[in-house]
Amino acid sequence: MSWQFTFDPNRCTGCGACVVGCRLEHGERQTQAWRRIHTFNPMRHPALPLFHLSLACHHCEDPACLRACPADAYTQDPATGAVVIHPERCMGCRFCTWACPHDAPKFSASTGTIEKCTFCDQRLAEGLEPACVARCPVEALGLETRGPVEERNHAQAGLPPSALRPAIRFVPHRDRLPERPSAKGLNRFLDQVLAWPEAKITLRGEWALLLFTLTLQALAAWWVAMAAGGPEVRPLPFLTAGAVALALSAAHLGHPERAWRAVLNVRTSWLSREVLLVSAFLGLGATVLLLPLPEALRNPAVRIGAILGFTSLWAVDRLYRVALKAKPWNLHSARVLLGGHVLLGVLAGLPILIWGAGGLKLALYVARKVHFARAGRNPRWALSALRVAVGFLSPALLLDQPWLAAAALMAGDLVDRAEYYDELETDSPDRRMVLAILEKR
Amino acid sequence: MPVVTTACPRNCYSTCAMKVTVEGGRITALDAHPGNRATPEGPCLKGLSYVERIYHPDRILHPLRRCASGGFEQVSWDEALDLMVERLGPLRSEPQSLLHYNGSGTKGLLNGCSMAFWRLFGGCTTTYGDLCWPAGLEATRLTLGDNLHNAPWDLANARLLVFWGKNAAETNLHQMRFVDQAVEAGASCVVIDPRRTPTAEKADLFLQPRPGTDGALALALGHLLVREGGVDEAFVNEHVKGFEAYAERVAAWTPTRAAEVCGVPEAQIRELARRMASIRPMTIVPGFGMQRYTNAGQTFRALLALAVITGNLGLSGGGWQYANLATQVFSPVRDPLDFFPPEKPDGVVRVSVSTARLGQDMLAQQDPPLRAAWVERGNPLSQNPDTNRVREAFRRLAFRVVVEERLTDTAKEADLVLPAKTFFEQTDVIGAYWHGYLQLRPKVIEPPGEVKPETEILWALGQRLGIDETTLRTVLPEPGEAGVEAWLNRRLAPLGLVLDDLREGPVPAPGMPEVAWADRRFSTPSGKVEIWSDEAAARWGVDPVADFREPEEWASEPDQLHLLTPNTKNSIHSQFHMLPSLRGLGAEHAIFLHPEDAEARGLRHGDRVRIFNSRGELVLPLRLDFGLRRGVVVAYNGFGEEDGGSVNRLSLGRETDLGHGAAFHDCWVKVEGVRP
Repeated sequence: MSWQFTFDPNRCTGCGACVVGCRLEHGERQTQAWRRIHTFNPMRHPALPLFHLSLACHHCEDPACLRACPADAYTQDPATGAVVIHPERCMGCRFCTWACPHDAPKFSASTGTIEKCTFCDQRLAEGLEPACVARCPVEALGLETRGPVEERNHAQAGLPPSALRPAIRFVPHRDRLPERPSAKGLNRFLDQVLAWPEAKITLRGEWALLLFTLTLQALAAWWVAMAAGGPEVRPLPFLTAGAVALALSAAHLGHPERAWRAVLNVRTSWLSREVLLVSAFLGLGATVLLLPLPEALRNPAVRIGAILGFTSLWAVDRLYRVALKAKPWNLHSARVLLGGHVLLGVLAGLPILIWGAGGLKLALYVARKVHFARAGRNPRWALSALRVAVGFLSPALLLDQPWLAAAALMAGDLVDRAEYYDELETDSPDRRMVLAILEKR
Repeated sequence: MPVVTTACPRNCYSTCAMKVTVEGGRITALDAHPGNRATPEGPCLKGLSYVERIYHPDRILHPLRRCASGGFEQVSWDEALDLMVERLGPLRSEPQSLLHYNGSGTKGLLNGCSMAFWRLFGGCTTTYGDLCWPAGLEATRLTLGDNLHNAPWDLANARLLVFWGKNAAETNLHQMRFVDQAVEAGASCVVIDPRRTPTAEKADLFLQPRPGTDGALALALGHLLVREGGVDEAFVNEHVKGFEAYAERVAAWTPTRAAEVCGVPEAQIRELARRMASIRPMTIVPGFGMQRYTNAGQTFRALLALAVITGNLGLSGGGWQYANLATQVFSPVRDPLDFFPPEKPDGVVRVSVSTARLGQDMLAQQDPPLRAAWVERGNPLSQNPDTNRVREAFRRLAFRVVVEERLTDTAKEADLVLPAKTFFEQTDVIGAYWHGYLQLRPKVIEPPGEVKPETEILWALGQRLGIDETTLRTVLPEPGEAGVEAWLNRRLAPLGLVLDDLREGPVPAPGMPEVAWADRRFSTPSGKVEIWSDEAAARWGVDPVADFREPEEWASEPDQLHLLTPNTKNSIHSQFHMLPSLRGLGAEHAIFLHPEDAEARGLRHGDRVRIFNSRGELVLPLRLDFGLRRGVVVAYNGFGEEDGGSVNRLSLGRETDLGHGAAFHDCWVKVEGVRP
């Protein structure tokens, strides 16, 4: 029998007994709270009601964490519906924390792995309610057998919308006060108190991935340029850069020694697919560059390598789609497949790519800046001007020296993609709470 | 795994029953015990944090002696006892130079042993009054004769709930279940509080009066009820003394006048009166904070009169839920009478220090002046008013012993700190003041380290002082569980109970009412509900009928703010909030201010600010609270020096008009930014 949580925001006082009760149950396995209280209107704006959501993992029917995990560290118990992380299988890539809009998986710096709510599967097996449910003093949290998803009231403010079918049913919140003052005069103070959640993806935290993805963009473009009749790929720089890129991507893991697990979930994880494609590309590259292959084998291998190179760039771009971007469209100037095409144009001397892909990239970059300026975020005009001068103008002027132009192009892309990591954000209940206040004030 | 029934002995309404799981001599889990109908869903977050608390690395496990360098050193019990004999022994010739101070840190019948021991010592000086709730108790006692109310779960039957200054969602969480049951069944819930508390989210009518003006609001409601047919005349004619005088008093309190005094819209006052007149049964649930003003006793008499004249006494779903002393069955005198100094001193124990004025009164004692103090179950250096004064008085003493679980502000000032037990480490029986259950809290684990229960500390001290065992046995249980159980059984015997009756779960105290005053027989001098009280006038010098006066401390300068120091869900006074698992759950030590009051002082959310008056100051981060009444500033009670200092640096030692309570909230301050 599968279970679902029930939650009544009309009853919850935000006391936190569920959080403490969870810790009491899981003790040392828990290095941080698995269940958290998310408060709507914590500043107590008189125009708005105030309520809390006590949220942990919703044990989704279509769990994003499990689909995203490249290491096959998650399982879903068909009997209870519990989505369980197995820390001994986790390599600590944190991709699930990007993928889950409910903020359920928590990365522990001390263990280097993910930890999260277990649905108290041991207790369920003994016929007991989860600890948080059993220990809620006001009967706001409950447990029931899983019902139809459309009856779970997922329009609740604070619950990120998704197609994951979270196993939690909300009792609709009713504002008990018949009329509220508009108190518009207080809106001017909101900026001081609105607490946006801390970003899970930051440039500081992901510099290794920044370097990895840009190196891959350069290597793939170089290889494809060779396949298109451009400059030969030289083994030493290509293989050194490839090895460094792989090492960097492994180094950012909580458990680098488990990096091999990254290919265990090709069936659903874009990260697994990316790792597999990148490995195939670099592996084939090494084979072609190091082994004296006969011409009849080498030429098709180079062409297959080219396909693998750009396919892996596509996989890189694809996997970042689990995160939201601060701009409303998915096609953006920092995509490595786009950057790869511009670079290919420069290296192979293909004007249509230089001006077509390059022009598109410039247009997307400018559009992104304008969007930020309009949205009230700092567009960093000086940095942007530098990025355009280095990354667009100088390559255009240096086309007769492809290597210099390519270097300038990559320098520009370094800025572009660094900004991109800074802009990436993930969905979360706290983000939805702030958005709901901004919408309703 | 053994599972044992116990109950939480904190100074808290809920006094939850719990099941404790013990594995290998260690407590590993705490869970709900459905045998207590008031708390069937189990303890709050504080109760659930006991495992963390009792095994916390900061817990004191050995006697600690102050050393010359100012810090503490661990000493053996022998050394600790020698030191006490050396420093306290000589005081036996002038025993009243020793102050015995105990707080409300832990409930239990054995608490009484300590005072009995000091009588044996030769005597001591002690306090009268109480920090917590005497004004409300005395107002209720004068009006009804005793402090009783309906069973907690009966609140679910109310059709109109008036939470007046009580933030049950944080201070009596388990009451919220019954509130939910009532509102889910269609009841109306009114909340009156200057703060928008979590409890206020239940309200369909929410009034935010100026602090300290609730009496005026109540008199205006009385005015409207008398004028507009809200009086239950049959009840008043038969059971009430003084209605005419009351009607005369409220005649002057028009809603227009009260709206001005209280700073609430007149329409809200009229709406509340309309509901009180038309919805029955009504329960008024006043809080403790509101009776910590110098006008609070009279305020409470005015509030209680509303339940009286509408006839909401002695019926299910109706009444006045302030305090339920049904479990005070072990002594002939109930609160608040036993807080009062004896009319004739007995010459042994000098009851001469007002708890509310602890610092001033300690300094003022003569013949003999105070030279030493023994403190248990209390933390007066952060919890009594005017802590700077209390600190000064403690520092003036020659020798201080504090029995404590951790180094509180008070323990830090001690010459000797003795490790205190937790309630899992000695058997005792506890009552409650919201529900009417007697509960056993048995010894569940061995005390860790060298921890000794207070009764055993005193036994050892008595032996060292040369008091023979036969004499000690007259006031203390013999050391060990058998002695404690025999002692408790002797206390239970007159009730026809033995300890074993309590082992499975809570037992209703004999006479615990489901509906209080159902027989309409009130234990006042007249046998009626006295909204005219001669005793009030004679004993306290107040008007025999409730009236409204401004509190003694009232704004004298325009930029002063009224300071409120409420409790939060994360602490019982100075207990619990320091535990790591509670730290992340809100209730930080900060200054909360309305955004416009902050703006008027050029302050922004997050600024460091200084809050001060003539008594003291605190420097804390500023938080904007959009839901606070303007002119009010809030800082939470319970934090100590390690978090920036107690809010009681700012309060003044001053008694309430009735009951010898502490008027903590007669307190005005200024707030300014601190240059970084």
